[in-house]
Amino acid sequence: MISIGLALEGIVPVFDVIVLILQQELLYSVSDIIVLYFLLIGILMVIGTTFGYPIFRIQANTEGITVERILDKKKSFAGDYIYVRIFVHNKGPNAIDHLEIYDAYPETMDLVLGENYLYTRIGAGAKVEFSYIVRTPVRGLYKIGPTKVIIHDRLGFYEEEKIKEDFDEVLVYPSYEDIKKLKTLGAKRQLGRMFGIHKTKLKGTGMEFWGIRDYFPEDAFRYIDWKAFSRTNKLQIREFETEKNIRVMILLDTSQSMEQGLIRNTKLEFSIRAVVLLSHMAQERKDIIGLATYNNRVNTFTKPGQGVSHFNKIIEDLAYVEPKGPSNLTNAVQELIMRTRGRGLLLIISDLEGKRKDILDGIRKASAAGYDVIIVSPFGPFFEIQNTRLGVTEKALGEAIAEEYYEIRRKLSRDIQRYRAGVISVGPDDFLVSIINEYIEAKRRGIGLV
Amino acid sequence: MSETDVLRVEGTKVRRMRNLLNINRIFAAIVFISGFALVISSIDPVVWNFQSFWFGLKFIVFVFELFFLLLGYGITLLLGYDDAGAVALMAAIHSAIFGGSDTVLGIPIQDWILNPLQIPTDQNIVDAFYAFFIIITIIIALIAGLGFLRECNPALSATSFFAMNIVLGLASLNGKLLIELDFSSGNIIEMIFSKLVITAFMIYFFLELSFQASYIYNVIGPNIQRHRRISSNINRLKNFKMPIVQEFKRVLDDEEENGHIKVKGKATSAAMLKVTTAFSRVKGLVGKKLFKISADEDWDKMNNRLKNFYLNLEEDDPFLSMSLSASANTPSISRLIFIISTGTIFRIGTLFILSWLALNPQPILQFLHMPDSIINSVEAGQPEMIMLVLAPLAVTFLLIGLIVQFIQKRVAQRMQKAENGPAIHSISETKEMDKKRVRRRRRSESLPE
Repeated sequence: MISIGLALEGIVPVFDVIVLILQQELLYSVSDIIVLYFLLIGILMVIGTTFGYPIFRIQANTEGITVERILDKKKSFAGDYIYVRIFVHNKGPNAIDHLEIYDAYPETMDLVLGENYLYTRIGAGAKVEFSYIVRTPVRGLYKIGPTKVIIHDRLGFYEEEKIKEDFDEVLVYPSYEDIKKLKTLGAKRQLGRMFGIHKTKLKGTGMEFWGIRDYFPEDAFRYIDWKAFSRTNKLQIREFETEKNIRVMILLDTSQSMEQGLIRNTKLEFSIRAVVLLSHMAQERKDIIGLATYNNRVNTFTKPGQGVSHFNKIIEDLAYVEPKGPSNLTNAVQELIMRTRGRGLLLIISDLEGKRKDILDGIRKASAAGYDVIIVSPFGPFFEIQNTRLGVTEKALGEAIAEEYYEIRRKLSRDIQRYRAGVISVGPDDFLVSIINEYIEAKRRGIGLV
Repeated sequence: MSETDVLRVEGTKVRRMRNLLNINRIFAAIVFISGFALVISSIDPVVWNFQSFWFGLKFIVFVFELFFLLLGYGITLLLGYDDAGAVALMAAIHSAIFGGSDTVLGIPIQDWILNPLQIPTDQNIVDAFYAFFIIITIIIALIAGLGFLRECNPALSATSFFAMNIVLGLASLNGKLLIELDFSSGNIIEMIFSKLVITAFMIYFFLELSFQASYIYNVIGPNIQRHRRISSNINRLKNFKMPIVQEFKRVLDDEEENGHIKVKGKATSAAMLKVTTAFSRVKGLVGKKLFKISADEDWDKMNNRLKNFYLNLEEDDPFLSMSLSASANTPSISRLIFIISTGTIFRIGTLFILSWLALNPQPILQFLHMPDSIINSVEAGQPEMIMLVLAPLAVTFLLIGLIVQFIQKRVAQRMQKAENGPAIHSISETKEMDKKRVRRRRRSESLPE
């Protein structure tokens, strides 16, 4: 207010000077001609801008414009492309001189070819078409739409806008890239290039012959190779290979805190990639795998099973996952125990950012119910402090927070280990590898054997 | 239809769009040149004197000198000098700084300092001052007009329009306007052929036509640019080839080398956290390029996939490139010319009649059954009365438009009620349709032939 007052105070002398100058008689003389001229210009401008208004209103009937959207597919994998075609039909009796159409697509999608808008003129009863291709980099359920229709008059004086609330849902499954990568790795293994990485088969009670060894008193009589005994006069045991199938239940945390991290690379997205990879591996090895997603309760539940259709069911569940709500592991474990009979390996993928008591109670209950619990936990700071655009101060703050956070995590891990459960803190670089390792290790140790 | 045919059709449509844009530019150029010439011819040629222009420019520079002199004069008075002493001191300082004699523009410095507001009464200075501003403004009008013809930006045409009007206004204030009142009130024919009306209409018409040109540019211009941009993208996409050494392979090899694939490798962040000196480890991780962007950010692979996707689509729809570049939606050139020309003629005609009515309010006053004393009054032709007629005339149009809008909205609201909210074509809906389709197929297969 003071500044406005001062400004007005400053303006007053300026006006005084203007008045003084205008009082000088010889400075100007206004003729009737120029008055008439500007009056005419004024009339032309006023009438020119107003008399077209009723005509525009009659013509600009947005209700007469129908927009139809056709997608080449409604379900795709992350990283795939969707072709969107827009058909605009002017069903009204008048031509529209200047029509703008904008079709909205989700922010997470990338427009890769074509444009999602059109400027054109459309005659009465005419149809126009345009199209664009979007890439779907992140899994999830999305809506394409709405469509905005803007009608202008030819001189750009007036406009009429209407949003057509017409949406098309698109379901984007998690990316298949990791599975492809794993397959390439498998091919390499077969070529013998990655010797030592692949685990050997385990000996046991299968059909495939493994080898012969000396008899020990604890060995069962039925495995004694009597032919070898008659030949060598030594008691020997025949051993066979066994294929161990295990039961794995994955409990995936989908609470709000799992949304943290860089866009498209959040804790949840990495967790989902890990689940997809693990499910695929389990399906290939004929293991039994189930999935439950939870926040403060179980949201989706796929009972343990095997086969391709079962894997597809898991993928579909993962596509719909949305990070929201608080996390409550106790409720989720309780519900899981009630829903499943057979026990096995329980792989909890959670950032452990719920209440400490809930986490410990949940793990205690799971262990008590007979599960072998392993927690793979995305460590928050690893997903957040990677922004290279951070300044020195922000980085220092990030480090301080990370160190404090680490201390809390260390204490929690120690408490969790009391319930015979392991905690592995992972970052984006070793998330997938850690999960695979735990799975292979569980198989080797025969945890949750069917 | 072959690819060459599609390209030919696209090319023809784009060429037609460019032609239309250029035709419109030519029209706007003709109107602009006519309007500009009328403005020039309406002003006394004495104004177009560059000597006056330089004199005016000097005057503008002198205003700053004057400011300096007055300020210095005030300060010297404050320092205790008397009038004569202060003037003498300022004159000395002025000649030391700016050089020259004790006169500025032929007037002694003493007069400038002691009585500055009396100086502009000198007619030469006034004329020079006006000439300077008129020439500057007409140059602005010319540049803005030419700029409009090049870029079709209506802001430039509006600048040119206002500049031309300012020129006429300045010329009138200086008494250099050559237009005369050559039509009598009530005679529409005389009014149409009056130089005053023609000048006003031509300048206004340029403004309107510029908006028309801008409309065509907005409708067609983006389509041409879009066609150019998307065609080049499609060409690049079609010619894209995956590099021989695949990035994918390289990533795998890196992982092998780094030991990331190893079981329980120590390079993992989990392993790092187990170390007691984890604080410093966490600190160390911040600066390192520890985190890889996900594999799907591999551009070559993305482009290759897009190429395959595009080629598959193109097999089904040979006109795909036309749909993507929206070049199929070019309005017909002859139709557009017809619409614009008829629309413009209609507008100009209506504007003539309505402005004649506004300038001669007697018919309207008669229509409104005003008493003869008002209709025949001398005041009826005065600007105040014109404004009184003009305001309701303009409001009437707006009112009619608002009534139409109100009726349309009511109808739309009823229709929306019937539609019952936004339409969402959900995934489950697709699933249901798929199921129905399968069921129908099974039923048809099970039917006996």
